[in-house]
Amino acid sequence: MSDGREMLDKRVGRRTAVGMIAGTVAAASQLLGACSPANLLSEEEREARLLAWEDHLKGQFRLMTPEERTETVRRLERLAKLRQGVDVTIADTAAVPGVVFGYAFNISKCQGFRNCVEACVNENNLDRRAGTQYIRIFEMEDGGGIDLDHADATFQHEVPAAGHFYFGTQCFQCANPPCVEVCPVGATWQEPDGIVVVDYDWCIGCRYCMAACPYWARRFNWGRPEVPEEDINPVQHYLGNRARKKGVVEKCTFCIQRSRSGRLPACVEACPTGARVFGNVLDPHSEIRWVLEHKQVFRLKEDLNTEPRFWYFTD
Amino acid sequence: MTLSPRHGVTITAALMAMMGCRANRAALPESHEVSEPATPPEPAALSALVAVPVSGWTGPGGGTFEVARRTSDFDELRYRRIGVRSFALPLRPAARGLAQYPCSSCHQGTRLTGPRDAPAHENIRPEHPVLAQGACPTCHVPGAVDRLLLAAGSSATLDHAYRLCAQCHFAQVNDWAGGGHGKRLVSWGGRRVVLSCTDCHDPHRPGLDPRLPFAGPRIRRAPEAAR
Repeated sequence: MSDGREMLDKRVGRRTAVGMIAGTVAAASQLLGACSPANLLSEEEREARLLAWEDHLKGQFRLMTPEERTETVRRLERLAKLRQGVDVTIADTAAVPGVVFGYAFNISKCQGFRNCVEACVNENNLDRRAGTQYIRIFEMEDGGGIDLDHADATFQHEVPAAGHFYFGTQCFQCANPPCVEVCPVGATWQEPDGIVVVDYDWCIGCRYCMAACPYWARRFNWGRPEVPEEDINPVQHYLGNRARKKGVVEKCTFCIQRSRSGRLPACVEACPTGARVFGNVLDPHSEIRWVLEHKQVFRLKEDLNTEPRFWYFTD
Repeated sequence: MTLSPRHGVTITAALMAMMGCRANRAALPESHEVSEPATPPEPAALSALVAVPVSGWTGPGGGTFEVARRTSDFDELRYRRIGVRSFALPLRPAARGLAQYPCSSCHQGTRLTGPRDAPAHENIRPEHPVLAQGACPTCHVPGAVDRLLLAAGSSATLDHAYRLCAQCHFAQVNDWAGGGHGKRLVSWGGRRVVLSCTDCHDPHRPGLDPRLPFAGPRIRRAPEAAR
């Protein structure tokens, strides 16, 4: 009896409560498992279900302690092994202090080959069944200006087409992101290095952010994303290319799993024309700073005050 | 009272604080310049790059930079690992990848004269020399064909082909040195290794060939679908 009173006297915080519920649920599901058809499940499937339950009850990424982050990362890695049969490593690398990423796109150089798109799909484990793509390359007519209403992103002919130029868009990692502003649950936010990220396990799939984004930069998973086992990129980040689920929003993260470890994003690396420039805007020795200081640059829909960290320039 | 841009930042920050702006909005930085730029982690692939320092030009912010070597085996440049795939950049073969490099293995004691008079190097389509009204000895040292002839009378190795190109293409080479033209390899910070002009452009025919693009999106944007 004294145990019960102690339990009642103990101050139960929200986190502890969630933990207690998780424990109860886990115990209950095991109990159920003992006397139901669930018992027929394989050892691995039972483990996967239990892990999925525990994972379901975790907190939002930003509120997690370092221990909780390690725990959820290990859990997700184990789940990837059980569910997809792949050994993945999920990093939770934090932003490097003194780094704010910026991106520049040379309209004179892009020829519309879409090698960036191909690299992005492979790097970020994008849904192959739905054909999700973060990057759009718009084909525009020479002399027509940047006219998105009359541009075609679905072109499928030999490029570059005469009399046309190519204009790439993706998430601009705005310094004043309207998508973050509208999220009702705080599942998307801006990191200190400027990358706007989504906690896929906190997103409720309301798609307000998609409506708020003036650049069509976000993508919704109408179904469970499918990537063939042999094509899964095992180098993952919690806020980047790890497995997404049905009903959540995702977006370009400047390849957070690459850029936070000093590497160039996949699109920059794959571009055959050198139209893409990436770097730290706080570093006066970076290429991005040189472009901003020496070239005529502009940003898309600048009048909306979204302050994109993605600049366009010409030769 | 005159307001400097710095005042503007402070006033905006104060206004934002007064209006109780959302905490998850990124705070305005105190200063846009950091005295000591952060050193990013150095990717392993960066230390594997074989490169030589560029002479005659400085990179962004006056820093030094390196150019990947054409004369060494540069498959590690050509093939970039993205996800689980190995992506081949449309680079020209390295000098060593040419069947008969070094050139002096054939061209011994011979001096290049004018336009070619014998059936040799049929794969070379000299569009650029024709347009520029040049011939082989305009760029290749007549008596030492492994080297490139500079206008000043000196010469450069194939690794430093940019020195030759720079003699006419001033704007391009300035952009290249600064970072607005060409490709940087592997990392966005730390050691800066870039490709040379002739890694992407065939000097005899510098344009890129048209080709079919990778598959486009299946879903149209609302304005497109409405048309």
